[in-house]
Amino acid sequence: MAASHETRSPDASDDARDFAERIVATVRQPLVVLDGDLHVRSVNAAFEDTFEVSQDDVLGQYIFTLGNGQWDIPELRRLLGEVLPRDTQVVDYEVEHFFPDIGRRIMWLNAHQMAQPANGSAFILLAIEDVTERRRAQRQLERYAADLKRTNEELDNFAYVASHDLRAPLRNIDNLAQWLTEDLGDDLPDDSQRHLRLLRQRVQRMERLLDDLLKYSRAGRYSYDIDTVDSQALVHDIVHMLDVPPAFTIDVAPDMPTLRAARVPLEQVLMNLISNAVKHHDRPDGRVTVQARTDGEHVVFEVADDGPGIAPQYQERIFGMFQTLRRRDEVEASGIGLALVKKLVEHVGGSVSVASEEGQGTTFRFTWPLDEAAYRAQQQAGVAVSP
Amino acid sequence: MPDDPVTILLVEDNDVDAEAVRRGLRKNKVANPIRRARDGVEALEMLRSDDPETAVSPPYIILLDIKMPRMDGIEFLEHLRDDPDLRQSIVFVLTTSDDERDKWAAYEKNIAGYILKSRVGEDFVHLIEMLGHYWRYVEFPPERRNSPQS
Repeated sequence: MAASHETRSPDASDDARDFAERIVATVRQPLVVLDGDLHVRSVNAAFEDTFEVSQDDVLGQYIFTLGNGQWDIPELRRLLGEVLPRDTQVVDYEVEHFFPDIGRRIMWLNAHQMAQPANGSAFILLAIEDVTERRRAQRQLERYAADLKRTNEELDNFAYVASHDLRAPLRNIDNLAQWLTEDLGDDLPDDSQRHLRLLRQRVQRMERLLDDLLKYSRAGRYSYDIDTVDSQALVHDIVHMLDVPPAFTIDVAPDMPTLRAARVPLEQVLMNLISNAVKHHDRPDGRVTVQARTDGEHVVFEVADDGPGIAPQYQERIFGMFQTLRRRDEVEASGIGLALVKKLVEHVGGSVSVASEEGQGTTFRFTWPLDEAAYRAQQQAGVAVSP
Repeated sequence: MPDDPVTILLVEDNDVDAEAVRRGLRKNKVANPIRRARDGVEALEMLRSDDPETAVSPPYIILLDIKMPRMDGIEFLEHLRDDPDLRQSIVFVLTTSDDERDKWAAYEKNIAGYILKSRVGEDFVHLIEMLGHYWRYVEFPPERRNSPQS
């Protein structure tokens, strides 16, 4: 409510004042109206709530003696005494201040100096936005971001250590076992020869685990350049690189879309799915079908096999880390392949799913953005908008 | 080019890896003298030494590991390329590090090749075979008195 002690002027200006007062009362941000001598003429309900005062306590008071001088803030003095008379307007002026009743507050001050229509005397509209919580959240966010950056750097270092320090002794063990085999050869009992072979197999398994773990930890943290990728040519290249048994058939659909994408991650995903389909097949004459189609802003890829299928109760589990459905002595697998697929696909905002019935083959389906550059731009814009 | 046999200076901290190189050479019937330094500091001492007992003198090639105590391979390359007497040295990096940063850093220092020894299950036989061909066909930097101003 605005003060009511001023001279009333009739009709139109009454309506205008009424209108203005309702705006001031409605706004959820604390507002103060000061006269030219910096005495409070009115405050709105939001001001009363925020600063825990009532209108009656503040009306007519000098701003700097208000509430035992708690508004006697050097920045506010400068703002009202120097800046406002010169510029008549102040936008988002940040002030941090400790209030005895409500504690430390960070505020944005917006002020307008205006002349009263009736008599030309000055008054000041001061809007106080309490940004304490927002600032706290922002600082928290900055701390999290810094923490995350440090964690990522540590992870990078870990990956480096894993790739060198853990691999070197493994390779040495393998060398030594190999030399024993070479130098002793047939002098070794059959059992010992077999043991040495097993030892080397286990070493190789360990190395594959390390490799895959490294790939997994790095997935999505390198920003590869975006290229024009003909998905059909890409699949042909992958099939060429794989060790496919001679009786096996891999059908690549003739009409597959061309994407704007980072080649390496997409290749990793398709490579993992196709090589899985071959590796886990129960017949040497299996068939794998790879196809893709455009669906809006995405490309939907499908890798289908006519292998043994995956029972429903395992279909969720296969995407977890280190999950394999058969003993590693039957099928050499690190159990990271599908976890890596999931991570890579989700990194570009896609999704991956499996459809299978036991004995009926398995179909993996995943989506990839048709234009990854556009997806990245969207992501960046999303980040920029949030405070 | 002199007919002195090419000396192989192996800069490698890991004893088993060093033995793997020696075995590979033996298997390929490569009889070139091999000298070993256990890190970059030791390698520089050998290259700069005046004592004929310890010195490594041309012609030589350097097989260099990256991760080593005291002075690693990349630092060693920096010292080598800064030294007017040694900057022409032929260096192959022979390492487990598949890290892009190491590859960039090493090629920045004009190495002859970056060779990964990381694959378990292979020894160095083929690698040594390749190196053996290399020094049979490649001209080494000429003697100091003929060398152009660099």
